[in-house]
Amino acid sequence: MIEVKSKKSWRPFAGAAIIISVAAIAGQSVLASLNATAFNTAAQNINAGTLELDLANSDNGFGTSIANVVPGDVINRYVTLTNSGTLDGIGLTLKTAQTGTQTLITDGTGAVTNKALKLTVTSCTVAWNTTTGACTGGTTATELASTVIGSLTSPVALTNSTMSSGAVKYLQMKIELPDQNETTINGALPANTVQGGAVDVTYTFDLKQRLATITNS
Amino acid sequence: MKKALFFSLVGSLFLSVLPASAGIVGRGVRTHTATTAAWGVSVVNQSGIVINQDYAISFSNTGNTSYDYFSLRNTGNLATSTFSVLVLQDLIKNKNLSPTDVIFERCDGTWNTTTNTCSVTPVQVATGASSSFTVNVPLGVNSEIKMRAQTPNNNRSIGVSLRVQVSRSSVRGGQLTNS
Repeated sequence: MIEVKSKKSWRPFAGAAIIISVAAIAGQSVLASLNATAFNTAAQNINAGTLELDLANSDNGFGTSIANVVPGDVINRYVTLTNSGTLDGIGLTLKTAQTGTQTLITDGTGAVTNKALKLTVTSCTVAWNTTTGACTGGTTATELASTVIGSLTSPVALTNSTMSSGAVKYLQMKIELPDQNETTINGALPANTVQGGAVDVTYTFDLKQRLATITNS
Repeated sequence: MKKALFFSLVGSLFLSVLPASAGIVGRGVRTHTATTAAWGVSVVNQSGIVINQDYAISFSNTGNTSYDYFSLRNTGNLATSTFSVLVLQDLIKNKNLSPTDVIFERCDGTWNTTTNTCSVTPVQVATGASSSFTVNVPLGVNSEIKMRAQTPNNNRSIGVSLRVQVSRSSVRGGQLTNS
């Protein structure tokens, strides 16, 4: 009986596997290192500031229309501006947009001599007495000199144009129709009249954020 | 060409990611309405029609004397304290007639157009030869002054017109209000 020893075909593969395993283990040991991690245990809180400009009526303010104005009338209305955001504001501006009777919006030119509505803005450091128009106990400042209402379509900087967070501005909005002569003949209004007109004025106050800063601390 | 296209594309992309205006803006907006008053007085004829032009006196023959009844009404929305009325004459028409014979009268009561009488004593305010007359009677909104013109029958085709004028000073002055 002849015993034939067959050659084991899996041996080369087993040998290769052993070699690779040994190499891998050896390799790992070469690459292994110590790692250290640092982090803040309490998350850093970053808040963006806010800028909110509140415009509120004091007494009638802009909440009640002005009716039956004649040349020479002066109507003082009172509003309060508050920077209720968390950011300080700069560059406070006012602009107006108007629709309605053109003679009340812009002055006439040449032969047309109508005089339009004018606006003056005055601030008081304390709340105005809206009955007497007095700034009792405070000081006043002209924020906007008398200006024809139609000339304010582009923003105009107010004299005191910064408002820190929480600051309040007490404003007197003086609206006047300059005195002027008109004669009505046979009940028909004259050309380019300021009589029997109506105008809607939209007041827009804008306050910009304070300048961006770099802080180190 | 390709290079230019590339750069313009990159430029457009760069501009599109830039904010239109940097920074935060707080805004307060309110709209407010203002209306103006009007003043004026118009003639209202006997038919109740408001005449917004010169009023030509028109006489009707009701006997020896002709009459034209009309009112002067405050058609504005402000009370007037005074106003003037111009008396305009048609010189050609009046060549052979007598404007002096035209009489303008005011009745502070009520005219009876049938009997041609006033409930109180009428007041003569002018003649057709006057250039104007002034009415110094306070007149509330929509209030009227009752008037008439009269002339002899042979004078009834005379040409006389009235023009009512109300100036700025006839209504209230400027006022200061706080509210």
